[in-house]
Amino acid sequence: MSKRILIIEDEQVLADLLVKKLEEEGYTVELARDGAQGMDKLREADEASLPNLLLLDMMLPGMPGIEILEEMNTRGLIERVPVVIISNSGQPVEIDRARELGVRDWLVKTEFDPLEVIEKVRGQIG
Amino acid sequence: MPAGRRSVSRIRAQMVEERTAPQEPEGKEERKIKTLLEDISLLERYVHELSVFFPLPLCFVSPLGVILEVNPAFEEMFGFKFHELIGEPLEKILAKEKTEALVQETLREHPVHGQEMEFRAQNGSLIPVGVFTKARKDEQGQILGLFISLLDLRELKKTNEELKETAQALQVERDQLAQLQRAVEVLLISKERPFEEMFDDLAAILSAALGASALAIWRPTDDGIGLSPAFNWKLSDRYMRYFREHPLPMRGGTIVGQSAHSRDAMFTSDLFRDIRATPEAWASGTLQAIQKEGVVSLASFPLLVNGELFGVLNIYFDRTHEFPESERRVLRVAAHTASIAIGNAQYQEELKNTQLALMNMLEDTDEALRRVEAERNRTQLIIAHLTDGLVVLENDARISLVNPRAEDMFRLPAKALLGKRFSELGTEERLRGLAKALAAEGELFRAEVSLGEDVVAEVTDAEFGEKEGSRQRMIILHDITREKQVERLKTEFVSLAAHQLRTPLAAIKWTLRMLLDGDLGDLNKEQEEFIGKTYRSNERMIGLINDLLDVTRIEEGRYLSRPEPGKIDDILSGLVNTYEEDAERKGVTLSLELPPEGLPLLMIDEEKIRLVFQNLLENALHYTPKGGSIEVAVQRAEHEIKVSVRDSGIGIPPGQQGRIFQKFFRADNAKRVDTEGSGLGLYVSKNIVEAHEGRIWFESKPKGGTVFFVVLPVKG
Repeated sequence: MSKRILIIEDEQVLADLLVKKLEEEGYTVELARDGAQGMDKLREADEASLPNLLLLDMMLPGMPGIEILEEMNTRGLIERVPVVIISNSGQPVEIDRARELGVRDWLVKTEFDPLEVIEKVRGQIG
Repeated sequence: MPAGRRSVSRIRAQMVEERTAPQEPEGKEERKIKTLLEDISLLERYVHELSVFFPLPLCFVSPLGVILEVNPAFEEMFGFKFHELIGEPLEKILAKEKTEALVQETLREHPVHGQEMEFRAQNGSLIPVGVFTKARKDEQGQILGLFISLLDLRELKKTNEELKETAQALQVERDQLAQLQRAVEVLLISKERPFEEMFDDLAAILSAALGASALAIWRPTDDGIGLSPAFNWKLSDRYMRYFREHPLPMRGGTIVGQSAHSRDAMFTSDLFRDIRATPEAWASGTLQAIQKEGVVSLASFPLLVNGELFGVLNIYFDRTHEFPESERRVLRVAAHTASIAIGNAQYQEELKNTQLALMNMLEDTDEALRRVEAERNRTQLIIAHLTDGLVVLENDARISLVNPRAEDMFRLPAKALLGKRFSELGTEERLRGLAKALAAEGELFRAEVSLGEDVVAEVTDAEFGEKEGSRQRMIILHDITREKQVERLKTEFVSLAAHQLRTPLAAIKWTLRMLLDGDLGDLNKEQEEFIGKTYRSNERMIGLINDLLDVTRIEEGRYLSRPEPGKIDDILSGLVNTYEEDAERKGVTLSLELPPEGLPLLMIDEEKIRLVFQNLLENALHYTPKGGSIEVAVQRAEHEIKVSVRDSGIGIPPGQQGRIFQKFFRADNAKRVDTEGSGLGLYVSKNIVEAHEGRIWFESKPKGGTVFFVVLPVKG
């Protein structure tokens, strides 16, 4: 059974490239194009359907990444689903806050390319 | 013929008659008589000589008042001849009633003794005499007449009269002196009065006492060589004006000049006959002016005040006036007194000035008090209108002052706060945070404290004094709610901008990468070449955006994250490794020299410090031509570490070296090598180094290469 990855990312090109790359790597990828939608998926998921990893953009329509993290924290989801942030922002304040909430890694999109992202994912969930 | 002789001869004649009557022959009796006669004759001569010699007038008068005998002194006194008196009644020379009284009294055994009477002389004048009388009787007690002796009182009377006159003169002088004394008193007493007034009084008194017609004080002219009248009493304006325009020289030639020059009093009873009235004085018009004024006589007295010539006091008379010694004395005293009075007046003036100065000082003090008061009011106003909240803690941290802004921020009135401690006010929701901060912090601190939900204040707690053994502190609450909002908005904006710009760049980057990696199908050589170039352009764009974001953050003052212990040697080794390949490709040698004893950990933001050396190395690589070298070396000092990055590159033009750390600045020769480049690298580097309390500088020669030095402190 392949590992499930949930991507919450509104930028279509990036999202598509990521999905394509990760599927090629053998992951089961689910994509949400706005924050609220992504959060719904997390809320609705039972133990079996919870993703093994969440790739989360911070600036999202519907519901900002930080709120998703806060809710996951409240729901105790963050311990069970490792989160890697893929963001355009690299502001220390945001990064610090995210780390406090239990985020595993923070990637600035312009500083990485898809291959590197996949390496990070492997690092987290194998 | 002397009276005494006459009367004795009569006795002798009688005796001769008695002798010749019996006609007896000269015998014993005759000899006796002859001896007696001789005795009488001797006595007669004696009496005669005595009466002639006797200097006092003497006469013998019959009981009926007929003059029987007078002596030469008597004749001389009244100017009568002997025969004009003998046989004449005494009334001829003495008033009738006086004569009768004198004769009667004397005959009644009441002789007169020194009674003063007046006898009429031959020329009709009355001669005062003292009268002495004595009745003369014979053996039987029959009154024969009376002697009258006179004492000439004329000299005595004259002396008396003179004495009286002298006494009168003395009285006058005494009066003058008294008046002058009054003048002196006026001058001395009138300390409070202006000198002009005193001068007028003095003049009036001298005029009354001496008959002076005018007075003036002449003062030295500004140049000190002349004199002109300054104060005057009863002198005409014309006279004053003339001598003000024509000052008299301070030397001989004029009375006033000579007096000033010799510092001695000068007198002239008649100016125009005075030998000092020189032809020059006439020629210059001086005397004419005086003559016109009607002045004839003059006295000049130098007025010396504290040994200095104040001026000359002139006393004028409109007639000739002798100055008797007594008057001169008095005038000298008056002048001297005037000097003293002037001295006094000057002293008073000084006193007045001193008093004025004191008054001014008092006023100044008042003014200072008013200023202090105003300042206090102002301070109170400032405190009241301060846009910051202000709370003063005194008397064991009790609130003693709360300004209106603080009341607003606390949402509590001052009366609910005064006299309380913040520790007691912790129950108030809004004050909880502040109470906690004040309790926790040391003596002086600055902290951000939330007051309720909606206000954030930057709180400064500062001690400013001590009162009654207790620290005085002021708590300043600077409302930073708005700044906080702005800060948040800015952060949001930067995030947004970063997102907006970076998202498409990231999309391009990822797509191009996948294309290049062949993930989206194989590319032919030309395609691969173009896409590779595009990828690198995009990377530069991303770099530029990153630099801009860094600059924004630097300017917001929140660029550095918290420093942590880091190893500078690791950072440098890593970077040298990274760039070794590039250097080799470019034909430039790159070396790193670390001290063998190793390096201490530094408190650094590792990522930012890496960026600094990355910038320096990239620049060195970029601007060092093929065959050159880049040497990175580290030196260790006691409290710091010095890193040098030396290249043999194009150098920095001397005229542009001062601007090299400026934002967006790129040297001309650098632009020629490479048109790309943001001009932000060194600006960002400098900010990073300085945020670490380090220093960055360089030494460079055109075409002679550049060395950049970075010094970072070693802490604790």
